[in-house]
Amino acid sequence: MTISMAARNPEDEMGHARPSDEELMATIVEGQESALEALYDRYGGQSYSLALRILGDREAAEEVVQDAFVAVWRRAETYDPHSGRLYSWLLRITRNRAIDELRRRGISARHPSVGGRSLDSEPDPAQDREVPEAATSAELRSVVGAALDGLPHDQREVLEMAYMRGWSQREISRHTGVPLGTVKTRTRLALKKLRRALEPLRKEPVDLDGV
Amino acid sequence: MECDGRIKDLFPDYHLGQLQPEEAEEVRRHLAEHASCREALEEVAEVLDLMPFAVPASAPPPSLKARVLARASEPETMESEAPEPEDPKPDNAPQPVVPARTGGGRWRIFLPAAAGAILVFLTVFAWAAYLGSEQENVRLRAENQRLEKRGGSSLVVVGVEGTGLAPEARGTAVLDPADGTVALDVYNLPATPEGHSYRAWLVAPGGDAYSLGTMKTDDRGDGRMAGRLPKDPTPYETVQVTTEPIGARERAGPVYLESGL
Repeated sequence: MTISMAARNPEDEMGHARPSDEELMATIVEGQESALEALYDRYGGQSYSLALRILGDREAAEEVVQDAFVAVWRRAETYDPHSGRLYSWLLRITRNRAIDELRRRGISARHPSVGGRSLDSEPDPAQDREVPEAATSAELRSVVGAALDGLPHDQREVLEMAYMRGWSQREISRHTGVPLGTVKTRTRLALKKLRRALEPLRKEPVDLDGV
Repeated sequence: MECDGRIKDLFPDYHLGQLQPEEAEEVRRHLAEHASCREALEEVAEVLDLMPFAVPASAPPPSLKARVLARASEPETMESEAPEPEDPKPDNAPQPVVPARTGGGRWRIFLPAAAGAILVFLTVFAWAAYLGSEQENVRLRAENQRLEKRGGSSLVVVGVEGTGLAPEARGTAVLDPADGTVALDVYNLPATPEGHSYRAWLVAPGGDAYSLGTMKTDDRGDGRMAGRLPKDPTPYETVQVTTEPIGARERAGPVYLESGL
């Protein structure tokens, strides 16, 4: 199965075709700072949201986002579109940097929930405002969120611990006391069900701009 | 090794970079010989790479974009260049030579460009002097140069100074009228009186004030906040930070930080 999420190439408010991720990356390779800016506009919010969810710390999340975009900027020539989509690459860098920071701080006791909020800041409408989203990116969130919600709790939990805390299956087993074989089975079943649930993404390209 | 469940069970940890080195090497060797497993790994990767989209969207502070662009403009020697596992082509290829960067051109004019450039210049260097860190100075010089090149930028960076109530306090306000956002970072503010909080304002010459939101400070007196600009920010000429009773919406308290726009 190949999940197809080819970014659409819609038009901007002036009627000009917006560059695809690949075109954007080619411009970044040429050293156009405006392309990096466009990349940030497209994926900065998603990168920040992910880092914030993993770290639960705004300042640290901002550092991670800066690191991730600078890494993309400086290593743009090494990006191979055949090896994965641009947003996957960027978010993988974001996630790995955030996990590195989590490990550096020794924050292993946190139990971030993919769907919940764990920020300890003063509630402020200005700070906690939702990011305005294109309908299509909201749709993507909706599909992925529903797919995860559809998993049994124990299966969802192993995925969250692996992705959001950076625990290997062996570490999950050690921390939770669940036998390693069971952790493997839950992971395998969770991924299988998610693939099936995410099938709609194959049918229609998703515009990820502005996520 | 055959394509059994054991090797496939390692794929999630392999994709997430969470295997021990010897296990990762074992998977790499296996993948090199088994196309069907490469395909299976790709499927695992596709699903795991969607996990970020299950995270609720949070708005980054408006100033973050400027900091990202500033960091990208820094000399490359300041960035660790060790190969990273997330690289989709981890071939340890030599780092590319960074080409000369050219400025972006999407920023729209908010304040007259010349005045903006002067504000940016003064603000950034005042901030650098305050921080007293050579590395920070280098970063801010790069940021200043970048912002100066953007003659038509809408991004307005303003240094805010402590009043007599907080002579050691400093801060930076970043206003982005294009996005309708404002971010404020402050340092060395005194603790607020019991039952009060800091609140940031845009103030017009006639005294009309627009609340940008409240701000908490830590035990060092450092704090930050993000807020929304009014639809028409042009009547406002001053940024202020006051202390107000929690829940109060009127500007009545003493001014701790202030700057003209």
